[in-house]
Amino acid sequence: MTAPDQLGTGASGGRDPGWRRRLLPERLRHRAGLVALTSGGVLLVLVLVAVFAPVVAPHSPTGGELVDLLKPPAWMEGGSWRFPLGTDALGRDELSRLIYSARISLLVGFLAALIASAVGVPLGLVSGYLGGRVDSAIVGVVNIMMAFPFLLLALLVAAVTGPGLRNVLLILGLTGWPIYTRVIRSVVLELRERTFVTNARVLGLSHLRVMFRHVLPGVWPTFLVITSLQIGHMILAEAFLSFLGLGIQPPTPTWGGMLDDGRAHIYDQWWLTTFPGIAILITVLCVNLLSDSIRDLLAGSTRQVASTDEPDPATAPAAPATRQGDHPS
Amino acid sequence: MLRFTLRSLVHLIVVLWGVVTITFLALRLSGNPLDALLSPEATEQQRAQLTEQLGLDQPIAMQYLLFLRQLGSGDLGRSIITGTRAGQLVGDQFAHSLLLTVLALAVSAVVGVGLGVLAATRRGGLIDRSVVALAALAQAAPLFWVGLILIIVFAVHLQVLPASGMGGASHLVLPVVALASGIMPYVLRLTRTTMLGVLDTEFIRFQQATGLGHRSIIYRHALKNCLPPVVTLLGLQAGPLLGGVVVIETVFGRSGVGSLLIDSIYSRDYPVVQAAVLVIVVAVVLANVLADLLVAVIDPRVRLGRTAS
Repeated sequence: MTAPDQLGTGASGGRDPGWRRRLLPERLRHRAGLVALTSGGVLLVLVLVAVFAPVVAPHSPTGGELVDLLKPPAWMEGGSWRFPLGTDALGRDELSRLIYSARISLLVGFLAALIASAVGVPLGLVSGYLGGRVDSAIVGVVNIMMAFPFLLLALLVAAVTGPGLRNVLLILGLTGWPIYTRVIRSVVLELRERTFVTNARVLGLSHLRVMFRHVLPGVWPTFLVITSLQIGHMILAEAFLSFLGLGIQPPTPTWGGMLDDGRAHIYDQWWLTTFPGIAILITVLCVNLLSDSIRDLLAGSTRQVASTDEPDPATAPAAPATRQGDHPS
Repeated sequence: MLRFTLRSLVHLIVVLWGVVTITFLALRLSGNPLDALLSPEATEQQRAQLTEQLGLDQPIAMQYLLFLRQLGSGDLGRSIITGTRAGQLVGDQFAHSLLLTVLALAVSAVVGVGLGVLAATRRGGLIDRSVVALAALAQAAPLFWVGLILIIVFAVHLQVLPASGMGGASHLVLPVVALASGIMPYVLRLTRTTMLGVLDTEFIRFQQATGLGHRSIIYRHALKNCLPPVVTLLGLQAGPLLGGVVVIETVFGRSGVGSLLIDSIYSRDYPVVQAAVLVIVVAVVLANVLADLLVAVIDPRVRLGRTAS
């Protein structure tokens, strides 16, 4: 349990500007860089805690003694440091359950975003690059999918396929791709007109080769920004489904599921509904901050102030133009 | 204007067709509906009867056409549990959800725009930074959890507002605040960004030079220029908002389309699930069209009919 302190202070502390200059590459010295380091540091700690959950967690997440049920957090009357954040209705340690839940949330957030991008990125690439009928067809499907509220679609599919980790991953992945297609397409539309792409075509390279070898790398910064933001959305969506009992099922602990359990004890045991929510809040906040700062760093320091406030990457694709010089032409 | 309306109508129909199709596919292709509709103890005869009734012995394309024809005649099927028309069940609950949604939309618009303008006019200051931080926090919090926390604070501890159920205006406060917390940050951030941009234009500088009062410039001239994107955003947020209604109604024990949907999912009453989903999605699509029209009304630069490519 020492890991959080070491990494946490290392990332955020330090007033001496010389410290920043010595340790950090130029890009990371600005405010966005520090935000990226701090949020990234916290996320790293979360990932480490999740991976090493069996070592870090003080108790088993599923086994509890009935004598220990509904103990308050340690600092309250009747609490003990044996259960720092108290216990639930089955006497299970709240802290250990939170730690094990991080595994599910991070795994689902990451994998679901990956699945969504595996579907959405190629479609966006093809759609933007080829144009014409293929483009119209893909855009049509995307528009229809995006008219469907994401959570509702996920809910609908979850209701039919039934709960479980694999289903949740597939549901979130297969309903979350249109945002990738839409944004990637808009970036490709712009890239397509650049000289290095037209030159590649003139040199006689095939469309497929141009698309994947020359256009795809230009999409990378945008991809990073959407993915980080989508991971946050996916974590929230998983919590939503699990909260409604349609996501990952007990006894596997999840933050959403813990909130559902806690709801029954909302009048007396506030900690059961408070802590899992805070866990979600911290995780998603760090993911979002990381996403924002990645966008700012990629956009270059000149637009920093304005670009932190763009509401959605869908309306503001992250300045992919900044790095075009790097590509072979 | 006519062309604009026609275009919106065609777009609306295409999107609705797509949504209906997705709903159909989601409900039919993900397994044999019989397993979902009937209990495992159902007799062979019951299975055969329902198969015929639902047209499941037909090929999938036939089923799809049948489904569309039913929809076309306004038939959303009947509840498996109560036998009531699914459309009527949803229609009865619609007003409750609409009230909640409209109130939440109004609250997030007023609070979001207000705080956004406040932050933009005090750029870089303490107020600006706190407002931006608040938006980041609200954006990361699941709104059903915000609902639970509001219950703990205002209903359990302070005991000033009821925790759940239907009733007078006091029963609406917490659900509306929880629901608004889901979209308010987006409104706030967009307003702030747009306002910062507008304040930096020649137009506003000119007004300052003419000696108009600070307030008059911000609220009468700058704000007007911020509204079109904000209205568009509010229309786009109808989707997340109605997604939120589903869970908020459940958390606060309110009746409405959302809680009807969840209950029907638990009781596997698929015709009602289908009807509820369709009604919600139609509402979302209509909200977007409405927002587009509203933008055209506010902003004379958007010329209706010229939006066609």
